Amino acid sequence: MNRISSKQLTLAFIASRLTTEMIMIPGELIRYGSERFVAILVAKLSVLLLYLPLLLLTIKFKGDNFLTAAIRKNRIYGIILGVLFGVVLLSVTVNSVLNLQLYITDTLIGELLLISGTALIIAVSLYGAMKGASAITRTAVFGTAIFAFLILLIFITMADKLDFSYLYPMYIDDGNYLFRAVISEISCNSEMLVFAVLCSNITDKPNRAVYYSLAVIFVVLEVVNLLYNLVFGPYLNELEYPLYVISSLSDVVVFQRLDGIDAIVWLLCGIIKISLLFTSAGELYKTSSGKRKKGWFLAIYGTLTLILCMLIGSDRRYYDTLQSILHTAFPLVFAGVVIPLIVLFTGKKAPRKEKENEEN
Amino acid sequence: MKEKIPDFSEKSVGNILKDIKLSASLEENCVNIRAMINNSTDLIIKPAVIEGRKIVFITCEGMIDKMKLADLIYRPLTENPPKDCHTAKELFDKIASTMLIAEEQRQLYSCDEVLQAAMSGFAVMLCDEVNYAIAIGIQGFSFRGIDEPSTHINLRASREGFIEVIRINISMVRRRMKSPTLKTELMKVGERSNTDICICYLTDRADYKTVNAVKDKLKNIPLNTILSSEFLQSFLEEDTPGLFPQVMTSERPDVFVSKLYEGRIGIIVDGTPFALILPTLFIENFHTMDDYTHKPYFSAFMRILRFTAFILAVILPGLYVALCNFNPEMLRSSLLLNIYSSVQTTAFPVFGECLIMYSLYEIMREAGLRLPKSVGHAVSIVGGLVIGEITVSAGLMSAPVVLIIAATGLCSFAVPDLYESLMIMRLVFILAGGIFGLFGITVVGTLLLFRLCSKNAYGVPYMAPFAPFTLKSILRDTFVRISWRNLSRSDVTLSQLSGRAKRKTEKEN
Amino acid sequence: MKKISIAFILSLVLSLSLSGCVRYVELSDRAIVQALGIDYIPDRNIYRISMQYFSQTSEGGQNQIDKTQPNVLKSVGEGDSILTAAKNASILSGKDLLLSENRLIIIGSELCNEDLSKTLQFFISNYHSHPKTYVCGAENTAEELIDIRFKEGYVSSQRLINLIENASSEGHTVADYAYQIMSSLCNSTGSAYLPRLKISEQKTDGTVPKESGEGQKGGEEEQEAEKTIVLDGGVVFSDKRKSGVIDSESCVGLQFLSNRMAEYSVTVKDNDNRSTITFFSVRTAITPKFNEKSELYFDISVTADGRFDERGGISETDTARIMAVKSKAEQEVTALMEKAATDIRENCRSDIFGLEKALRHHYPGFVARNKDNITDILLSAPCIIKVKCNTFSLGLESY
Repeated sequence: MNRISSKQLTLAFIASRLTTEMIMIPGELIRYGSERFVAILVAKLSVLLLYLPLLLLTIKFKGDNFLTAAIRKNRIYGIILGVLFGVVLLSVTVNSVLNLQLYITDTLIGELLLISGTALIIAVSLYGAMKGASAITRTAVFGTAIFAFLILLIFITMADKLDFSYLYPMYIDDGNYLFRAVISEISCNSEMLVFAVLCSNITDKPNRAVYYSLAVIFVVLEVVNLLYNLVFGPYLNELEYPLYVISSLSDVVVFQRLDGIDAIVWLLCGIIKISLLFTSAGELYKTSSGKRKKGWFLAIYGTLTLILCMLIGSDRRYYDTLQSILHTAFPLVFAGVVIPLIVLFTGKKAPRKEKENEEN
Repeated sequence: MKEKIPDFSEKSVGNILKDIKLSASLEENCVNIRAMINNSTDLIIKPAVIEGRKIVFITCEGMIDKMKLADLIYRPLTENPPKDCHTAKELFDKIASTMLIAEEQRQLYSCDEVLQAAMSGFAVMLCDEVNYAIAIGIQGFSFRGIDEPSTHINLRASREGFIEVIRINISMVRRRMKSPTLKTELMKVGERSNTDICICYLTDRADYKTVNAVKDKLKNIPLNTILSSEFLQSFLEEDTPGLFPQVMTSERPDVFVSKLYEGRIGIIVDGTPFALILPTLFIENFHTMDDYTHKPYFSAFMRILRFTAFILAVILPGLYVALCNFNPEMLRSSLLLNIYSSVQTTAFPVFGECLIMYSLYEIMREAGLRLPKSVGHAVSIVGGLVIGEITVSAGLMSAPVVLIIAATGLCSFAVPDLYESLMIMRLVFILAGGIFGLFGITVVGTLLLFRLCSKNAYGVPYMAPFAPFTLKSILRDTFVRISWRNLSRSDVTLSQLSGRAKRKTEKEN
Repeated sequence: MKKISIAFILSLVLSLSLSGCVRYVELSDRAIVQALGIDYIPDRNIYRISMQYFSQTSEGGQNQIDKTQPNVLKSVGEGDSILTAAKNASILSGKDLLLSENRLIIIGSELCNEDLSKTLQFFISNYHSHPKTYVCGAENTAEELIDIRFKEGYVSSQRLINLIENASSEGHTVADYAYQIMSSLCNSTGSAYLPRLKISEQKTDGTVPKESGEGQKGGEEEQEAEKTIVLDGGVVFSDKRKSGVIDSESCVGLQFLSNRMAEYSVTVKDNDNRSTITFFSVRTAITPKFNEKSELYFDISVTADGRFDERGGISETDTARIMAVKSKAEQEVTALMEKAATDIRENCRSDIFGLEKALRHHYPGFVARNKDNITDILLSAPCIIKVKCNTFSLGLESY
């Protein structure tokens, strides 16, 4: 069952995006000061602009994704675009799996073998992808709810440790940092790739998912950033996973610290994100091959992801190279903006009869 | 004809029996019927002569009320038989059409129908030179009286529970729902047992597609014998093998009726006091009838408590192992020091301790469950004293592990409908927590969530109204229940749950 | 396909599980560190870590912790870095170190001359340790403080933690967690403050409960039993290194300056009478200002509510005497603050009560423009301190 509503996708995007923001942003980009607040705002506005071709595409092709429109024009042409898109999707997936694995070894289990971590993450995410977009987005409801509850709990428990004197008025003294932070924020928006593929599965207006998710994520990020600033002050610049450290400071009645629970929630949201990426890959395959079942493809795709994770994750230099490529935001802009833009002008609309048949 | 006598070694018997029609020869009919039932002693064939015509009464031992047989059938037929009948058929027609013998009366045309009727408590009358039979309902078998249900015990709700007799169960439902839209449909399932089942639903609230889907599934159940409603359960569930029940069982007519009102379909099975209700939602496992008789705030508290007990029952032992082995820093200082002190002298690692203790607990529970009560007490003493006390004082097990397993056992009884699922999940979480710590617990938890969220029972998302998220329904009657005053303002049926409408559209597409 | 997917996942999970790919340490094989001291030995250029780790003394063989015992053992390790020293301590104790329960880090006097942020970062960056750990300086070596054990609470270190917390709540010292000290160290002046602990051999009389610990080393038991640990001022850091030591009076002034004073009692002599005013709800505001010559100065104003805990014979209606006593109390607090400000700024060249924070808050552009010499600007700008206490907020009749 792969039909979902825009609200469901919004929640899935929130769960997925929050993980990215909390884990995958490089430590040095989460910085003390007002620049970060501005960087988040500028990044969200930029991302909204980048979504424009995709939004126009969904309007022009009445909910069809870029691949359907391209294949309708010419099958070979469509498949080429699909493969190019798939390569970016695969690299983002590998990067996400490795980031999550790295995070687990940093926080939960220090001596977890690369193969154990990545294989388990991929296996669970594949299971989610096989269950369909609907199952993933429904799971995201729980991920988002637990995350919201955790943030609330952290705020309550940290209330006496907030130091408002750490806040100072908006003043940007490092434009270079602002630029890097905005680019980094954009580069992490892999939800754009998911939206590019899954927009055709949305039963109501797909564009709502983009507007709502961006708005909610913007608010949450600003609030969390405020929390970082009020608790850590200048020390924030030195921290790699600030929310994790804040969680470890939070003391609730049952647990002395919430970092383990925090890690669990992040992991859950991370798996949701990777599942969405796998689902998108499966949908790409289904659209381009015209077959209804994607099980075998996903199994092969998952194995390929695992192999790549093993190759890239085994050497820190390869991993850093992949990171640096993805952090330029070029691959994402290529797959999420350029390809949809090309299809926007070259794609073919569905004949009226075909549309009517589908509606009936 | 004799060649058609069924071979009972065959798995399927229904089709062969149906072929044998009643003939005009009474003797032949009797021979056929006797042969069919292999001269079974509980079939009584009583010959008689009325107005010079040979007739027989076929009944089944213990299934009829003998007083009714004498008062309603034998006496009127012998004292005031129909007069002026020239043929046997005329006599038979008069008996069938003019004499008021019983409320339930029908004509039968085949041997298998005769047998089925006799075995269902009918007295079947056959007459020579007539090729049909008259079945007269004088059921009078002994059965258990209406009693308080043994499960789902409530404090303030009705004390009546379903019993094993389908007709009485239907009457209990009707007594609580005197609406003309309540429809009951009788069916027979099980090729050999021919068990009566009754499908109940409200025509104005249940989704007709779901009703038809349920009927189709029931018709196609390949089982020969159905002795309990649970036999049907797996055939009615859409997602098998499922860890969580998608079909609810209830012994309570009040619960049954309230679910029908929400647009669900109920199935009452003859011979069992447990009725089936479908489709069901995950959240309903935490509801009881008492929740609707108490004040809303208390109901909300109890439901949240039950859910907490469920979560604890599932993950507490796994979490304990994970925290002890991988993330002890999460435990409170004094708790950690106490646990640390207690594990210093134990013979097994925490993971092993948990597994052993858990297995022992389940063995004890299983042993105590099916033993006579007097022996059951002995099991409790052995379990409580020997396992609990001696293992700790002998240093074989640590006290926290014993406490945790006992506490989770207690928690799992708070949600009895999910006990079986809990048992399995707990073990899986212990293994996951022991091998991969919190990472393993998260992975298993996510798998479980994916599975639960992917379930749809007859188009209704199993995790509704949480996933897909419908705030209005969540605030109405999930963990919190709004007051009756507010509940009465708006009706909610299953078809109004989020996700349901989409499913329909999708199917239509 | 469904079966294949389930089989795939199951086989994967099972194969990984059975291969024993995750190593973990049993709880019983861990050493739960309660307090640790770090010293630097300049002669040998090595670090020396001494730690108290939990080792329970059972009560009646029931695995219950005997709270009348220190319940700790000591382990020591030396190494070229803090990490190697910790590893050597782990080898010596024969157990894997668990730092999550460590609530006290004592920095030896020699190590204070090194970069404090590096030392603290080692512990905070270990995700299993706890950032809510108190950090103290030692008068001499940290190890000599670790050697002393107390018999209160579950473990020995609890006594020291209580000492710091009580002193903080009484306004005698600032008690900061490791992450808060790191926040201070990360500002542009690299300033921080640690309460200083020292060994005291003063004898306690019979009227005061004995706060004595038991000596680690053998010897004359009676004499050893009188050893205790007391707070003695604080260590001030500038540019992440020790820049000086302040006394107990300056510590009180610092509490006022850094807006952390919860409650402080001042006794004023008025002829033969003694009146005690308790300052509570203390609020300190540091406002950077520029005078006519565009020179920076800091206006530090303290407002508090006052309570006469001992009236000293002053009647409720005697406003003139009340005002006189209040004025003396304000002057006394002002003097404490001025002394602290002088000690810290002039003698220690440090900004530990947040001048930079205040300046950044009001004039971020000014800080950005002068970030190279901000320390000099901060320390040379004069501080004008005003203290105002409202003794009538609760009314005199309250006490």
